[in-house]
Amino acid sequence: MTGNASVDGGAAPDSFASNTERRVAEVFATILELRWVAREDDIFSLGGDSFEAVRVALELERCFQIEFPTELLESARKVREIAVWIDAHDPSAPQQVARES
Amino acid sequence: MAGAGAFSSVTSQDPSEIARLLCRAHQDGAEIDFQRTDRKLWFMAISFLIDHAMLDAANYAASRAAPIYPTAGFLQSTAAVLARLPAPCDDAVFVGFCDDPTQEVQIVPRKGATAALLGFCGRAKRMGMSLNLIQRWFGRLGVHVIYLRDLQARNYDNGVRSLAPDLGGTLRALRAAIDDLGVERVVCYGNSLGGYGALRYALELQCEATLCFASPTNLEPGFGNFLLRDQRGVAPGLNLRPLYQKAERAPRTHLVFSEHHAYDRAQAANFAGLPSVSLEMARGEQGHDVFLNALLQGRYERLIQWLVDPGRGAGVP
Repeated sequence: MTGNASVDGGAAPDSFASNTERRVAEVFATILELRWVAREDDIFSLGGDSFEAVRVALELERCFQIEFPTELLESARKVREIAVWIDAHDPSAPQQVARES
Repeated sequence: MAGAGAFSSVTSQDPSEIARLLCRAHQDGAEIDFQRTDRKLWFMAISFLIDHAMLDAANYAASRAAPIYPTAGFLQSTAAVLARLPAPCDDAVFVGFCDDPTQEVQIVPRKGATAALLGFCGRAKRMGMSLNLIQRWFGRLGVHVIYLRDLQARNYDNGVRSLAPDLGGTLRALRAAIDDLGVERVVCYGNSLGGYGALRYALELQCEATLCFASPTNLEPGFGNFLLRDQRGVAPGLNLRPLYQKAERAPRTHLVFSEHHAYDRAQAANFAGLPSVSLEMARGEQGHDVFLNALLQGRYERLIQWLVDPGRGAGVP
């Protein structure tokens, strides 16, 4: 996790390395019904299961217009790693830095 | 028997529509062309069938989809669970149960039962899998089942709103419901956050035993509780360890936790050394699907039998 966000509640982290990271974190948060998700989180550390992994994958596909392999989530990849994968597989994805930590 | 081309028209992205097609294929004994649409949609469609208690159709579809997508863990595990599904018990009312996820309390009486099982759902409103599936395993135990959800998302600490506005009233209502079922023996079962409720209510209701999978034992802030990020504003809960330490008579309790999931490990370790408690590590498990790990490794039935076996003392099942 970046910033000073508390793992258990508290303020949301304000540092993502890219807009893709931020959007991936938002998808995680929406599906898992959490207020925020950090770039170092993975789906299982947040209490998700394989059913929710599929729901996250479907939402990532809708959001980024790519085909997303659920295996990436099932191998407990972190938000930042998934964002890197998405950017690598979607040349049109924005690479800009949203906010430096 | 319908032809193998029965699915040539699958263009829908709607899992419920695909589920209906799968159902028809099951009824007709038709083969299914799983290459026709995305595997995740197949999974959602199979989940739809499970959620509507159409378990034979779900098994028919999952057993055929899994070999087509050998790397799709979610399809593999669903197919594996369905393949292990026990046969329905001989009680029509019990077999006829279909989960309504909007309900906080669902009572499923069982003919001739001498015990009641309180089942506590987690945040995802399930128990690591659909209640429609777990009901088949509970059918092996010969017990009444009371399924509980806390739709207030207050860790069951404020009670279950459908029963009473507070914890005390909820406990009295549960005791009355158990009395109505005509049994004295009560056991608790919980998955993930539901395990916290199971542990707490088992103590409050003086239950006989508790079985938990990947469950928190300490919901105080500062214990790594991602649960406190819940959109519904989950309130901090209690550290249950002191309650168990102080209890004159704590239920025999077994916690199963993930080997490689740091949060689960820490939460289970919080109960280490308590006299009525045994811990079991799900070896090789990376994630939170501890229940699934136990099921696929053939340990699950032994665990639930331990839960309801009146002759068992504390200790490893």
